[in-house]
Amino acid sequence: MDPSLPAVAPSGAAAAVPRGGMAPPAGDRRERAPRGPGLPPPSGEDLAAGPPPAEGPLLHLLRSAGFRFALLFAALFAVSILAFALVLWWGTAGALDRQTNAVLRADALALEERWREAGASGAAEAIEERLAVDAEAESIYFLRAPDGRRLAGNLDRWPPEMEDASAVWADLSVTHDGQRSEARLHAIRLPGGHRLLVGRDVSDKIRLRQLLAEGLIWAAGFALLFALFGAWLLRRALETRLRPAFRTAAAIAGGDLRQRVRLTGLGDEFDRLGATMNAMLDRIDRLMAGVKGVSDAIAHDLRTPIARARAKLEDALRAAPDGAATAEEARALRAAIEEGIADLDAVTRVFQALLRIAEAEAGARRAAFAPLDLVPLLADLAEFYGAAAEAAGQRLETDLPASVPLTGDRDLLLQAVANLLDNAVKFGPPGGTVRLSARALPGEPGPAGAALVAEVTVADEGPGIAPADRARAGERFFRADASRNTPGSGLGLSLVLAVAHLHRGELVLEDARPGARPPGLRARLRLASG
Amino acid sequence: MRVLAAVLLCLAPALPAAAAGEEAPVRVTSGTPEYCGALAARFAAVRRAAPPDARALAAEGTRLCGRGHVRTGVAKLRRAIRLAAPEPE
Repeated sequence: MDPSLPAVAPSGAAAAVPRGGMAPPAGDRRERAPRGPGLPPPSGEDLAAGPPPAEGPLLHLLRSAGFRFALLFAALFAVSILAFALVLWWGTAGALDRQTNAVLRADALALEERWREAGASGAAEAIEERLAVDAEAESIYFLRAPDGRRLAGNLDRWPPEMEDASAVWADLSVTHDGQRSEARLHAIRLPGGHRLLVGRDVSDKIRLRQLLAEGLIWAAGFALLFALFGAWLLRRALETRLRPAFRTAAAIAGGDLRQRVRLTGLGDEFDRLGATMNAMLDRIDRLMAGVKGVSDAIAHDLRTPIARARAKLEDALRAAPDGAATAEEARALRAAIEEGIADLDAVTRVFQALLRIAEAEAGARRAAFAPLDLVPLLADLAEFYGAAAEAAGQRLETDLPASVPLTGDRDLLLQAVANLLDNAVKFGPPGGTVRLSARALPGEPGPAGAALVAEVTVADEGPGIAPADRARAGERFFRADASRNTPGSGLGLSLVLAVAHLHRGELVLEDARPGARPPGLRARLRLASG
Repeated sequence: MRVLAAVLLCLAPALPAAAAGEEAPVRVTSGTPEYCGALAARFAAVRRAAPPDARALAAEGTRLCGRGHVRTGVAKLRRAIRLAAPEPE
């Protein structure tokens, strides 16, 4: 364990260390240049254009979701227009046909009844009466005797198309006043082999039907045009809205992790998709930056102790005589080897600390969570660091309640508070006071949305941390200029912050004595349960 | 040319036959001067009970039929008969 404190400096107002504070604000990155390292990414249009052209334009078009949506839209529109036209046709032209049929059927039944009452002469007289008052000249009748003679009516002969006794309904062309017109005819059989034909001239209705059909065809044509235009608009709108996501994904795939999806501010589904992608990319960016930071830090910070250990061992090797060594030379050699071992132990501790931070950040330790009481744990730490504070000429004061229950990782919590106490003792002045306190919280919401239930506070009278450095205090190996000469690796607060996040809490750094010089540092570790 | 002439000769008797097979449509006979006369006779039977408007219409219809406007004359005579007919109870 190496609970070293990051660099400290004169401090100002309080500031909470954000999660993943190593990454710059996302908003800054949105304005950056679109090109990054690696191969140039394909453009949004390239992706929107879809698969390689070897597939052919038609297949490519069919694979486009925008085109399929548009096609579905056009099909629904066309079906609705067709349904509308059918209903309109059934309600107008169909109604006229049904009305004509009903009139003919009723007229034929009435004449048949007349036949039964008054015989052929009565039916013939009824027909002549009907024709005599037909001012619209629409009625057609033919009463035929069994021998084919016309007994009454206004047709020159029985229509050949209705010679067959099974022919009951027919639509025929007739010559009316020297002009061709259309007639709807209905034939029934009467007793004694007579037949009766009742009809109506339906030329006007047919003309009306033709007008209606023409109107519907024109309307359907325009509706189809509108449907196609709407489909084109829909496809274009979809492509336009998805293009930023395509472009960003293409740029990311090309290696430029700084690209972000441009948001329109409408707050619709596409904006939510873009915002989610941006959040995901921010997270990836932070993780990548963390990995890079750790790699750089390991390369930079561990090079010194390793080089130092190697130099000491080389010095010892050079100083050691080839033959039998004197007791003085043997002691010097032994001391050099011990220093080298100590340096290598320090390197090992740094690696252990890094592993623990990585475990905490990855959430791998969450399985080890168990109910515990913070107070006995803090009391043990106070006893241990009380002795260390005394050795440094300081005093450790505690303010602990009877119990602060919590569900968490005991070892990590112990390590985190130990790091805070170690820093306080290390940076506190001789004669100063280190205060350790704890309290149960009423369940106020934390940064991760969980209810915070416990707070552990460690305050010292040291130089504190400058407000500008507080946001970076949780970064691995971060050390402010003022603490360069103080022993430590810059991993202590990184582990505290990782433990806080593992417990869905936060680490708040603030001045212990605002306005005083030095202001001191108060570190508040606020934790949620489980 | 000879072949074309032979074809035309073969078709020549067939064409009138086809025209003869295509029967003319049935004709409505209530638009003839004879029917005009029949309507005038029917109105004469009810003339005594007919209102003046009906009589005027009938006279006009008869005059139109006489001048060759059979369709209009028939329509007026039909309206006259309709006016002269007793109202259905």
